[in-house]
Parts: sequence; C-alpha cells; structure tokens
Amino acid sequence: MTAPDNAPGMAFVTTLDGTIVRVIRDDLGLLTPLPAGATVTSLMDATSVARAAAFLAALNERQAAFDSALTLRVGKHTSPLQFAGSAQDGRLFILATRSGSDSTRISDEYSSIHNEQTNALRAAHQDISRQDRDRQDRDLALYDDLSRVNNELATLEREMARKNVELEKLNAQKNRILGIAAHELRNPLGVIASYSDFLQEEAADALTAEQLEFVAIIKRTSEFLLRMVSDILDVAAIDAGQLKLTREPTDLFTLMSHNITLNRVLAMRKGIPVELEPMPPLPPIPIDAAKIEQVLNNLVGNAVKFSHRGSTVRVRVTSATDHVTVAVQDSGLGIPAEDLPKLFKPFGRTSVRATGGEQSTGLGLAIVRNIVEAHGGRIWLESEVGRGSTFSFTLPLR
Amino acid sequence: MGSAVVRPGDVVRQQQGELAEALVERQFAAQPELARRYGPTGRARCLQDANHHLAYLADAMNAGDPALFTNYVGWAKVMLGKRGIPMEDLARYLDLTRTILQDQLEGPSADLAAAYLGAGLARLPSLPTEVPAYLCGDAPHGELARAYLGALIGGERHQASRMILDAVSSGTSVKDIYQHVFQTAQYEVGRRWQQNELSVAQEHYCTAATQLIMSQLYPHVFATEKGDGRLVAACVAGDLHEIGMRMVTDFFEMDGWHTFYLGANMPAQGVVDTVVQRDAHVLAISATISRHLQAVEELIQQVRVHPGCRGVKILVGGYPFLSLPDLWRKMGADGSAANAQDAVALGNRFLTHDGP
Repeated sequence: MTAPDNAPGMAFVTTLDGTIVRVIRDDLGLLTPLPAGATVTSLMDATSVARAAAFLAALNERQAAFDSALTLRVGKHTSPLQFAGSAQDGRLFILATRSGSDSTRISDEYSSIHNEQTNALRAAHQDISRQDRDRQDRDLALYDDLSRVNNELATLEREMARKNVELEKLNAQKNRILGIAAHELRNPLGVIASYSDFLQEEAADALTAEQLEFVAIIKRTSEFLLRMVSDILDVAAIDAGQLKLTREPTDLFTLMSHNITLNRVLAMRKGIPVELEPMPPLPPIPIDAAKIEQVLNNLVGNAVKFSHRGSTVRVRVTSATDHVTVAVQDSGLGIPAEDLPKLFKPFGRTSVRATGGEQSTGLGLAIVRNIVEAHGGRIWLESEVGRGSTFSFTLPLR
Repeated sequence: MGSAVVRPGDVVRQQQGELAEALVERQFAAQPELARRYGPTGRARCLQDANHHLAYLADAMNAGDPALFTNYVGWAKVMLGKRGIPMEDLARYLDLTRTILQDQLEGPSADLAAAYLGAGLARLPSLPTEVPAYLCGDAPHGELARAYLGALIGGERHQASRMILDAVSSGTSVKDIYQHVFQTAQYEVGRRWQQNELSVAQEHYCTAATQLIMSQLYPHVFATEKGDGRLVAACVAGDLHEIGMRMVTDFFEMDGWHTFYLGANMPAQGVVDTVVQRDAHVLAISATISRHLQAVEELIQQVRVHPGCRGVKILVGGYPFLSLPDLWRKMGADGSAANAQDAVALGNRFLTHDGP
C-alpha cells in the first residue's frame, strides 16, 4: 500500500521519546485506529529505524527537524514520506507528508487554528526554506561562474589547438628551409676543403710557412663547417621524422673492432690509447651499421676530445638477455651536473672545453640519442668533474 | 536606428526597477499567502522574475516584433507548467503587468507595451504545453545522439567521449557529429531542463562535457588546408550559451577558413580590435536569447563606425534570429543563417563577392 496521490499526509503529537499520544490528521489511514503504544520508530520499515531515531534525537536537541526521508511499513508494504517536526512544552509535533510542499500546505492549513505547535513548526520551516532558497541562489550563481570558467578554458584550448597546428607547420617549414640551405652549402664547402688540400699537397714548396698555416686554417675551418652542415641535415631529417634505419643482422664484434681501430689512429695524434675490452660472444643483432658507427665515432671522438694526453679511453660491451650495453669511458674532464639536462639537446653546449681546442657543432649528442632511440635503445651518462665520464647506450638483441 | 533615438522599449527599460517593484507589490497584495509562504527571500525572487519579464518585453518592443515576446510567453508557459504553476497564474500575471504598464507609462510606449502583452495573452491558451523531443531514432545518427545524451545524463562523460571518438575513427564526419549529435543533444538538454526533467547541475554538466569532447576532435577540425577567408566569431557579453557559436566557428575552420573565436567575455571593443587586427572578412555574432539582442545591436554599431572595419560582413545567428527571419536586417547585420552549414555557405558567398 502506498499513500494515495491526493493525500497530503498525517500529523500527530508524541512524547519526547516518540510515543504517539494524539493523532491530529491521518490522510494516509496509517494511524487509524492508533495501535496501543505505537512509537515513531515502531511505524518504520527496518531500513528507516536508525534514521527515525536520529530524527527524534534532532528534534529533542534542536527543537525542530526537517526533510527527513523515512519509509513507513504498513503490513507487507512500504510508504516513503518526508518527516518534519517541532518540540514544544515537552511534546513533539510531527508531520509526515509525501513531499515538502505538502508539508507547507498542511502547516498552512493548520495555521488558522493558531495552534502554538503548528506556528512554531511553520516559523521554523520558513526559516529552513529561506536558507534553502538562499543556498539554491548561491548554487545557481556558482554554476554560472563555473560555466564562465569552463567556457574560457574551452576557448583557450581551441586557441591552443589552432596554434599547435600552426607551429607544427612552421616547424616543418623551418626544417625544409634548413635542409635546402645546408645542401646548398655543402658543395662549395667541399670545393674549399679539396682545394686547400690540393694547395697543401701540391703547392707546399711555393708557399711560405705563414701561407701554409693560412691554408691549414682554411682546411680545418671548411672541414668543420662541412661536419656542421652534415649534422644540421641529420637533425633536420630527425625533426621531420625522416630518420630511416636500414637494419641488417650485424656482427657487433667486427663492427666495433673496425671502428675502434680507425678511431685509435685519430686518438694517437693526441697520445690517447683507445682500448676495446674483450667482448662476450653475441649473435648477429639487427642494427643500421652505418648509424651505429656514427654513434661510436661521436662518443669515442668526444672521449678523446675531453681527455688529457696520456690517459686511456676504454670501450666495453656487456650483454643481458634481451640487449647489449656499450659503454665508452674516459678519465678526462667530466661534466658538471648543471650541464647534464641540456647535453642531449641540439646546440646544448656544456661549459667544458676540449683539451686540444677541438671544435664542436653542438649537434652530435642530439643525433646520437635519436639514432639509439630509433633502434629501441636508450642512452645515459655517468660523470664526475675531474674524474671523467662514461656514456652508455643499449641496443636490443632482437 | 542611431543610439540617440529613444525607442519604445528603452522607456520600459529606464523605468524597469520601479515597474518591477509595483508589479510585485500588486502581486503580493492580490495573493497575501505569497508573503506568508515565501517571506522576504521569496519577494526578492519575484522581483528578480519581474525584472526578467519586463526586460524581455522591452527587447521585443525595441526589435519591433511582438512575436519575440510571444515566444518568450510560450517558453514560460512550458517552463512554469512543468513546475506546477498553471497557465491561469501566468495569464493573471501578464494581465497585471499590462494594467501596471498602462498606469505608469505614458504615450506610445504604454500602448505598444499593452499591445505586446495583449498579443501574448491572446496566444497563451493555444501555445503548446510541451516541447516536442529533439531526439528521434530515424534522424541521421539518431541512435548515437540518444546513446550520447544517455551517457551524459548518467554522468558518464568518458563513455560519451569514447562513443564519439569511435564513431569518428570508423568514418563518421566531424560535421555530422557536431550537427546531429552535439547540437541535437544540447537542444534536448535545454528542452528537458525547461520541462523540469533535468536539474541546472545536469544541464551544466552536459554542456561542459560536450565542450571537452569537442576539444578532443580539434586535431580533425584544424587539419584542413587553409584558404583565404578570415572569420572572427564572438558571443555577446553575458551569453553563457556559447557552444553553438563555437560549433559554427569550427564549421568555418573545417571549410578552410582562418578562424578566431573570442568566446563570450570579450568586450565590444576587444571584438572590434580583433576584427581590425586579423583583417577579418566576416564577423559572426551569436545571441541565444532575445535578452542579448541589444548587446548584438550595440556591437554591430561599434563595428560599423570603426574605419578599420570597413568592408567586414556581419553574420548573426541564434534562437531569436531563427524565429524572426527579418530580425538580422533590423539589427543592421548583413545576413543570418539557420545552421552552421548555411552560415559557411553565406560566408563563402560574402568572400567571393566582396573578397580582396
């Protein structure tokens, strides 16, 4: 049984502990006849007993309580109602209605009786309703504010998405222009380098010592510029997502031995031996040999560049189940901690100067990192100022 | 329609405060139980409502079209009816308003106000008590729209987002999603709020979630190759319902226009500055409700007098322009469109006929 739609509810008076002593109105027919010793809690469905007790406690404590949703049990059926009440002269006046507006309706009807209890209830109810409305007004204003904030965020997000697309286009354009410029520079630089080479070899007898020194400077500078141009082309290709690997199963031992032998020749000019430590046996691994040689040239070249004459550069290969690690260790200048974050970024030069005054393009390590990562490996550095650096990178075995 | 001319609605607006006070005074005198039931807070709210009604009336009078006010009466009839306030109460209220305006206003404004209120009253009984649902299964993408709105109303924005992204990745065009899912869902949310089926909180949640999901589609929106057209778009200050303008702007973007969306909180001067700075071909302005028409008109006037905005075409849109096909002319705009697709077509026509 549920309360009929047109029944506003019921009203009754209880003792402070909730025993019903008088029924004022019972549209729902739940209290007629009044069962002997009926209490508020005894009318409740099991799910509402605890809340009904809390409602009574609130009435006793604060003299008024509202908007308590409690479910009555009548035989096999339940009936959900809104409870409100006030305390007056040692008695509780309780209204149970189908909705809050019914509660106002009943108390309005009873106000004509000038019953003190209903007046007290109505006054308290008005107070609570007013607070409710104030809260609703505040909530509405907050919703509007939130909407404004959200609109602004959405507008900013749109602007950001638009700018992002613009930036991507600009970046692609920059790489294209950079690539074209570098290409156009490479040929004349090659000519300058070859002719200075020719002068050194073929015309050395006709030149004074000072002129020969000039030619040597021209050659060194043009070779450096060629390297720079080549690095810029590499970086532009990487930025444009055009770094393409040609992977083939490669015997790492052969590759390393060959590469270290070549690097050793260059390093000996500075009196720095390069040692390849004994390697574990390895199956052929799928790598782009030319690119990995580029990585080794760069790392060993750097180690020599920043080492003192007479110190040794060691190259070590270790293997794990799914990858190999190549480490290039020097006992040179080392790199200060504050320089580490920019180390692998293009033009991220450090404060360390090469021991033989060699020049750097500032692009080598950025390229190295990209090549290693394109292979699915990673690269890192351990370094201590004054004691040297170890660059390590991994390559997956498969 | 220069700003120096006092229009009939301006007279109502100038006295709006006193008129609203008088209206509430009479309303409470006629129904003493209102004061007892709702106390001073209730009275303040009634005053707020009275100001609202009068502002709508003034806007309609200035726009010179009683249909704008009748539309508002129709909206109020549904909204109040669904909240247990019968049509008879609204009729009494409109009648009371008419009496008070006739008492307190003078000359042509009084007659015009009475005529507008009379028109609203006369139409009131025949105006619908329900707004038909926007969601229907056989509409294009109707099922998706229904599922999407269901997810949002259930507070499941992640699920809603997944539905949209899945649909796009399986080939549904972003334009279709905008038009048949987002727009339909937003209209339906508005309808359900009006009919007391959704709370304000749910309405705000749905809008915010749709804005978020729209932003996930931006990579598609901004991927289009760009042509020459430049559009600046704005909602007038105070209009919180800006999602429609955002969709229209994105349609322009997807058609290859360079678009600059300013949102709702940009003052008129800021809009004018952007039009100049971006050398815009078209300025699009939206107003969701007739309350914002005055702001639209003022913005248009500012654009028209600025030498740097010469040649810019002004496109207006939003609910009031839909219901009154000639309103854009009165506002001093160059055109209006019923939907995003038509707006882009009109923009392109402006571009080819008056392009640089």
